[in-house]
Amino acid sequence: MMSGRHDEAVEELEKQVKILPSSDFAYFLLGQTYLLKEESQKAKESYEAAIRIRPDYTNAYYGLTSVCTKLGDREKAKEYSEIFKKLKAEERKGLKGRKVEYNDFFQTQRSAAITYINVGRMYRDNGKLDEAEEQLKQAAGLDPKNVICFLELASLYQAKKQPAKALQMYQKIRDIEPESPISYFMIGILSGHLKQFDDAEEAFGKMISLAPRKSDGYRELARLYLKTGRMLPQARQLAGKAVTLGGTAANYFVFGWACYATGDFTNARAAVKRAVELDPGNAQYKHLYKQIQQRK
Amino acid sequence: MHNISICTNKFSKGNNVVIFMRGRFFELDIRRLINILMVLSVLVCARADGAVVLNDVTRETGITFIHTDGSSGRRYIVESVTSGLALFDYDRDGDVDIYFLSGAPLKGTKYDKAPKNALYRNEGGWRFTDVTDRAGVGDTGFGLGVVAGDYDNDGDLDIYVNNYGPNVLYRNNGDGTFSDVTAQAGVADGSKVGAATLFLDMDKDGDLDLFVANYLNFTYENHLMRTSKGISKYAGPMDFPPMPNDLFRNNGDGTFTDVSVESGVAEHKGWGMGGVAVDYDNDGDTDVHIVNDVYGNFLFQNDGTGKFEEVGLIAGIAYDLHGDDQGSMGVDCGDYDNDGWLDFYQTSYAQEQAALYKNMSGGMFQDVTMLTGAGAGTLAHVTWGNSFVDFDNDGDLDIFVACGHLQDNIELYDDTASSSVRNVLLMNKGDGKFVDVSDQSGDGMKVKLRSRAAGFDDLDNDGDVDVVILNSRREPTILRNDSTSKGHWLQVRLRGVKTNRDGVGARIKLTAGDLTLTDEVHSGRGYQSHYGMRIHFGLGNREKVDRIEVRWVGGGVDILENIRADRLVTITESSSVTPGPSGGDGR
Repeated sequence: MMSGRHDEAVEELEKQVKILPSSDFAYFLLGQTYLLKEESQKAKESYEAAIRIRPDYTNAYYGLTSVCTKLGDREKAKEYSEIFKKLKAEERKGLKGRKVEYNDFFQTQRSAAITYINVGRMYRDNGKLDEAEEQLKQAAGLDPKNVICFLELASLYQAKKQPAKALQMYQKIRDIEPESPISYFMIGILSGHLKQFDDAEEAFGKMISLAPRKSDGYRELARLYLKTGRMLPQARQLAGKAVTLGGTAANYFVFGWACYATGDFTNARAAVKRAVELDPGNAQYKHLYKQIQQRK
Repeated sequence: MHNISICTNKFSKGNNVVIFMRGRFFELDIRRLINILMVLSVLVCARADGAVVLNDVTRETGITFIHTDGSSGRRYIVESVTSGLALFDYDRDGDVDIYFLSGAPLKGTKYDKAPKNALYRNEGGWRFTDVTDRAGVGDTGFGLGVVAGDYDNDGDLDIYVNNYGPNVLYRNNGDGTFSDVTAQAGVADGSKVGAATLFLDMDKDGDLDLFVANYLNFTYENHLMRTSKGISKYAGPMDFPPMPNDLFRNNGDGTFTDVSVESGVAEHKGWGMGGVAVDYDNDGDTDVHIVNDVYGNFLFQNDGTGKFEEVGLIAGIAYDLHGDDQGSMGVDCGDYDNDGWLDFYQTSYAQEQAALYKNMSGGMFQDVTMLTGAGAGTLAHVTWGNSFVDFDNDGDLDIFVACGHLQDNIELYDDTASSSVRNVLLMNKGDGKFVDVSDQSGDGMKVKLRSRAAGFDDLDNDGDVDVVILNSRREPTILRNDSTSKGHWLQVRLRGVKTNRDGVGARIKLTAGDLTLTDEVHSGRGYQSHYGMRIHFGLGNREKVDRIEVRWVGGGVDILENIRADRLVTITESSSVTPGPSGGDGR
């Protein structure tokens, strides 16, 4: 059509609308071709067919405006031009800046951060933890809301036996996703490890409130109390809740430990026995079980 | 035309060679023969290069102007669209002078010496002298559009500069100096972001009125920068509110009245860029075409009294063939197909072809870009200044397009684009089609810069049209037309008596044998520029013009007959003389 081979274009487009009568675009192009061939009536019919299929076809209304003007039907041309203007104005509402431009600065930063993360992972997998850390820090600078980046860094710091730095990473994750229980879980664990017991207690408490159907928060808070030798009845209660929510080896173990600490040796024995059955390779479980047995 | 036919029936005679040429024998020594052959080979090469040859003569002109866009890295949108230029004979010495606009320091930018507009007097022989200070036209405002017109009908051309900020009207004192009469004329027009500006006699009262286009509503407060792939770049026009254009009626006493509202112009807001005032519907009054950046273009149809109706959509000129708006930049008109109706050529943003709109008569246009090949070579570029010019004097209008990306760092985020690029020359094949001959048209077409405005006139009065290009942040480019296969030509200068002094808006119809050419005198055109008030006609092999008909604004007609070609003819209104074979008062 655009190279001036109008007859061939009409032939192909007529075939197209027979094969696919719902093709508004084919009818529009047919209208354009007839317009260039100066067959205004046929152009008009084609544009009209296009808008029957797609009533908000802006460009087809432009074609109708042109062709009606050519046909001397000023009234109709005016009518179509008004619809065209209205549709055009609608189209422009969501359009900011030039058509071929867009504002992608933050998207670009996010993309670059992913690249840095992947590079960091490669260094980590090759045992180059310092280089990995540098890359991940770059990623964090570019995309300060990238949770994966902070998880990778936390994991790296744990591998480098730097729990305080790992804790900072989980605190950042908590700030980004304050409703996500996983960061509280890790904050609790790491705070406990660093003997920041109040922080640990608060974190496990928050986890329980965010994920009341998950056993981990109950169990770890119970474990914290057992480790610090305080709130032992609450520890037993929390551990019992954990076992109710999930019959895992860890839950049975902590429950057994809590029972043991509160003098309930029968339940302690049964629970720890169950833990050993579920995880027979765990030396800590076996050790406690042996200890309970010896009390007998 | 060179008519050298050389027969190589040559034979040695000692150190000499005998050549048979044009029926005669010539005896030449070997060294002389080699020299001749070298000259001939150069000529042959020039011919092989193409019919149009535009050579870069910037360095020999003495022009030292360097354009400034006022930038400091903050990327204020106005930087990206400056500036226009004007080609006009300010001192009435018979040759065309050059006035370059410049940007000015924007917020955060400092210069040791404030940039200013520059006027260069044409001394002849491709030498130009900076007369800015002497003439008093070194405006330090942020220049965008410019027009020259004799608004006070005193016989010399005045200058109006459309700035970002208050505009300036310089009255030509007739002695090589100008006076800033903006305040008394009442045309400062606030502090807007200007664009094209045009003089026209909208109400046929014999004096020139002033159309002032505006780009958009930019302030330092609403400034923003955008990014691509994280790289900062200029924001687009739609990031800023559109503006209406302004129209000032000439009161005939050196003052103007703002008639933007009552004329009907102000009710249409757009993102105005280039413009041209032209009688597109051949009804005897001057209409105004303003192209908009990423918005439907405006065609203001004059009812003959200075009241305008915007008819761009109905006329088929607002949008491209498919109904899509373009990032239009500059516009010029000319009768490319010699049918007596003036057509439009509009430049645009990258990934859009510069577009040719054929005047179908009856107030209708059709986008014939693809059918004619008139967009060839332009798709990849942002295109700006442009014109229909018969560079080879063969009787049909070719097209020149100034190119250069709006973004100065486009390469950093788009490896398919370049910021500094070559301009484009499209040759009219005479059959309604164009072919891109940029690569074969001289070293001037190899210059790669970020061009903006372009002006076209016969700078050395040798009967062909030369080119002046304003390049963003750089020196201009001056292209001398050294085409080797030129045809005959005629230039027409009008002198209004009852109508405005330079015949702005007058229609000229020229007949030479089987060739009929039509043109009109414009004041302001292309990309925010002014040029070509002396109308140039290429005549091909026709050695005389049978008839020139001038239809002045207001309806008066003058006819001249039997005019020898290759000369400048001045036609004075109501003279209606039929000169003898020497014709007019040619130079």
